[in-house]
Amino acid sequence: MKRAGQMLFALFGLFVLGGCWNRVELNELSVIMGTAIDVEDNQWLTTFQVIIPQAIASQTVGGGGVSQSPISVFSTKGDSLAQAIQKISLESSRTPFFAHNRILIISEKAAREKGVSQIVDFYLRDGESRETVDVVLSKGPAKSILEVLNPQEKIPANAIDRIFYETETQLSFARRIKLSEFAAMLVTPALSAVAPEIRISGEREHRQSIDELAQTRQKAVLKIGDIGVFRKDKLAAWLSRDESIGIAWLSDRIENSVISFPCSDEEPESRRSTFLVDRSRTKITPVITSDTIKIKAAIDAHGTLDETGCNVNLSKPESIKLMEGQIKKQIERDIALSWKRAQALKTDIFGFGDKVHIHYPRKWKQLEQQWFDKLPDIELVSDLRVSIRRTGMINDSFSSKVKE
Amino acid sequence: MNIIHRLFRSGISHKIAAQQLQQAPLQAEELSAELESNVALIKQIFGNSSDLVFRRLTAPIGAGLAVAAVYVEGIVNADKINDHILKPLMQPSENEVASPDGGPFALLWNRILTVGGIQEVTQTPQLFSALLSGQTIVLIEGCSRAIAAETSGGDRRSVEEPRSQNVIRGSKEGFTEDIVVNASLLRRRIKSPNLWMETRTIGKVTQTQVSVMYLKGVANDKVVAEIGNRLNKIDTDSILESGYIEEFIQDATFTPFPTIMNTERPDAAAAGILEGQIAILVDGTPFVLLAPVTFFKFFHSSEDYYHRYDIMTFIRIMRYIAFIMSMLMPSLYVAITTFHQEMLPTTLLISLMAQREGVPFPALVEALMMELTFEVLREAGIRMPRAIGSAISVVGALVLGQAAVQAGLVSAGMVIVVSFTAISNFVAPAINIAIAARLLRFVLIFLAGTLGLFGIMAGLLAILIHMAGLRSFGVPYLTPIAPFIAANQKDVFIRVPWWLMIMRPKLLVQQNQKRQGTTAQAAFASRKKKKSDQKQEP
Repeated sequence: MKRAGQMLFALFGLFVLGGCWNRVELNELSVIMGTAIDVEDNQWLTTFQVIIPQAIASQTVGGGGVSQSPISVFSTKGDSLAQAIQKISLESSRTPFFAHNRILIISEKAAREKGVSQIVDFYLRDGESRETVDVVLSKGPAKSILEVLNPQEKIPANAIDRIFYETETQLSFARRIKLSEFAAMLVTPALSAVAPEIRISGEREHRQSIDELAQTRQKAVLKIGDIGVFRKDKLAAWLSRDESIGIAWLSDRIENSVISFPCSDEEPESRRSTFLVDRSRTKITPVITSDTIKIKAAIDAHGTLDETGCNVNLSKPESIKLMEGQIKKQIERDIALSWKRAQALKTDIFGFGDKVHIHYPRKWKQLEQQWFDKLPDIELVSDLRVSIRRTGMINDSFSSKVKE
Repeated sequence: MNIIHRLFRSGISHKIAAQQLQQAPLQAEELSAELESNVALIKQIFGNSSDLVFRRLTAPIGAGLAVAAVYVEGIVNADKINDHILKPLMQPSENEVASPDGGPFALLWNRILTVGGIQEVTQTPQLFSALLSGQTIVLIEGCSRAIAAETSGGDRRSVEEPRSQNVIRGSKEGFTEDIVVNASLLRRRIKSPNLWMETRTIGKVTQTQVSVMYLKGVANDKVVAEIGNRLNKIDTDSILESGYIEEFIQDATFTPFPTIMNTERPDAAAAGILEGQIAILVDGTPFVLLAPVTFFKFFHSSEDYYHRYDIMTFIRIMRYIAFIMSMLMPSLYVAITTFHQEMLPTTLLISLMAQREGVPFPALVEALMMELTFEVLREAGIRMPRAIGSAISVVGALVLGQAAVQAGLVSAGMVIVVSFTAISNFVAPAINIAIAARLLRFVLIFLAGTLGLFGIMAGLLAILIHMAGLRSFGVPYLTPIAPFIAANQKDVFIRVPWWLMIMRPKLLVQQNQKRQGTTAQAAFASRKKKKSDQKQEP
């Protein structure tokens, strides 16, 4: 009897003294969807995009419309990242919650001056934040990116994530770089890390207002820009959009893409056709002889002819062949552009070093140290196979019919 | 558990001894030869109860024989008494009257009373039990022996469709309160001399008939003996429902899980008997007990075997999921929303957050409150007079659900969780297993509210360990999963077609395991072969 009482008391104590562990009610949380990191006066400036749930799920609360901004942005400064983040409690009434953080925007200044290793360290070390957060660069102050509202998505950070997803699957020239992948690229000695840039295009001063959402055309929108290339953990250079599509071709990251190509070598540049890449596979094989290193890139791409301004009869195999040849040339031009730029920068953004490591493990040990210096001497041999699988709903080009 | 057990037992035991003296059986008294003194004796002991009928008459036998027919009104078949006892006594045929050899007792016994069940009574306790079970006592002047004639009858509920355990397809018959009818319902389903029946009377005051029915040669003899043993040990004054018996004979008393099954359906009971279970029928209740039973049996409806096996397999699996849901949903909701918000998809998190905006109570309190509200509603729904039953649903659904959300007392998500939990609780075919889930739900909510998912895991582990330790008449409760019996898997989570269930479930049945020949299976195989042969031919 007495023992039973003691046992019950002990059990009861187990629950009560646990103090409900780390219980946080949902309405005590401030869910952070995006983080921006800037450097100001040699201090870390962290900015958070916090969601206002009532404004987002407006139909359950009543009211609706765009009366309240769905997000709120806080900025804090500190000597270290954690210190800056902790300071959010000076101005926020709720506990910051990082588990749903979607994007991490690092400003060019921070990435060039301070480097990204401390940021990566902090994110990997912290238990709450996830490694699946997208790493994004910004040329201007990163915090202003978080202030732009998007008309389609209520949460702008989600919108950025979606924009990257769409670009990745539809155009393939920029892709989402998750923090885990970014960290892996940073620590791989023969690989240069890359991260996409996001920018505000349009008039900056209009971007923050909720009234802006009442307009049909946004005065300021977020847009994917260049690709930042890192040397060690510091940002080294930018690749333009034209230069970056080659990266996708050479690193086998093409999911879908659009290639615009001229009708023939003779015809004027103004008349072009479009090829929609449905599927593509790239196989990289390094060939090392005694004195030269060659990289063979075998690319197999097929897709649909999406539009043509050329005067061709598409029912003839010859004209299809002709077009495929033009597509090939265009892809080769794209690849060459990226490759030349990478050679000039002495960065390996394609992961060729890894391929060499796999194919020539012994020679790699000698090459490893001077891999980046060797890059300008490496010859890239591309072997393309392009096939137009479908020509869409009509056969002959419409412009040829008009002329007759 | 034992401690609590002891706590209940220790203080009470000697009080029981004192009480039982008052109920000590009446002293046996021999009947006298005088009719009137016997009548007086019966009247005195029954306290002159008005439903006791004494029909005195003088039969035209010899010089006129004074006879009294005694019976209890209401529990006898009046027509039978009139036609087979009173009428022959009053109008005996000529030759019967003429030959009174062997005395009046033998005359009545042999020639006059035209009743099948008849016995001689010389002592009072016998007389009373015969009287109370609906027999008519014929007292004869000058004879110290009386005749008890079987005339039991009277109005009882007839065989109706069972109220609980409804099925779409299957027998519409349900057990009634009459043990004789119930036994006959089983006999009609299993027409085998191997269907054995043992009857005893339990309850010193209520004298309730309790019958044990089983299939000899299929049911485990040890279990039959054990059930008999435990029934014999019951020493109580009343048995009003089979629930009394269940509590007296079950293996573990301190558990929310039932270790004896009950059913209102004769087909379910017959199926159980055919698989080696033992049925315990109790007079006065339509609920027949079946033992031994395993945890999984509670999720099997008799209908599972009447519909197509593939569909019933799906439904059966759904039942298990619903059971787990009804136990875990609220606690998972509490744990995830207060401890593990990272587990929710962002959009769901946002909408849940918006709902919780302005809710004054922590999720734990909210959940307990809503669950309690629902339990009150459910209980009220059962007790309510039927005419205002619909009012309850309106009040419950509209006022408590919608208004509470609109007033900002509870979040809409919680209402959804609680209602889903409530609905899924009704899926289990056996109500007593559903009640177990209902009870454990509160414990789990509390664990979830204090320790999050760890608490739920700890609670589930404790429940699992407890279940693994349970036994029903020696059969481990989690058979055939723990211990794992491969052969029994055909009828646990899935139900294979009948022609594949050749063996009865092992462990319940030790002998005569084969339940059918393999001809059906062979026939199926040959049909299949024929088909494939046809395909091969161009």
